[in-house]
Amino acid sequence: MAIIVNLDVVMAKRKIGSGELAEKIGITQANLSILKTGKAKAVRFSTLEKLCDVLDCQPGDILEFRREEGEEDE
Amino acid sequence: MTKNNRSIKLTGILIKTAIVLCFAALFIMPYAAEVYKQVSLMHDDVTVPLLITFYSCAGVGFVILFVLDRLVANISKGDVFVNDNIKLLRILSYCCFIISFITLIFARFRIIVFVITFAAAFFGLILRVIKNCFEEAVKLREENDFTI
Repeated sequence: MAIIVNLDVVMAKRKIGSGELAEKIGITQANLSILKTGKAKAVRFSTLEKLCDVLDCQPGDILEFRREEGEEDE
Repeated sequence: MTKNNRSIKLTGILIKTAIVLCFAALFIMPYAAEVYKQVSLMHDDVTVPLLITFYSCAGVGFVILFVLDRLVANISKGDVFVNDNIKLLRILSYCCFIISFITLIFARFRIIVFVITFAAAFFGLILRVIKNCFEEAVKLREENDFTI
């Protein structure tokens, strides 16, 4: 996947657990796990806003674009 | 019980009734073919082709009924836009095309049977379009489920 979710890295830096974060942003732990493992197809702006607010970070700290192999411009 | 649940239950009962009726028809058909031979205004004897066509279609018909039963069971469980239902709809459409083909062969004896051929092919086509719609719906559901 070209978009990498670095949520676990930010969570580790802020020393916050999955249960606490899920509770603070108002989503289930299962959905947070989907987000952390990169299985999510999309993230709502409202969820991203809450994540940035709770983790005190920028969207770019959580999401990263990485070009996949064989995807380079010709 | 909600109105929707009642409707699904009624559909399930109708399908099971149809299975019983089709099963009964398997035994009645040889006699019905004899009666048809006597009352038919045509002078040719089509009893054997008629029975071959009927029993070939009956096999496919049972597949259709059992697939419908499974489809209704899935819907009653709340599993509507799932890959299993797409597979079942695909089977249903293929069954319709098979019946269309079988009756097309018999239509050379009785041209009126061509109506069944046409109707079955038409149903098969409609089911294929519904199957394609379900495929798109499954994609949308998955996207919705994985939007956090």
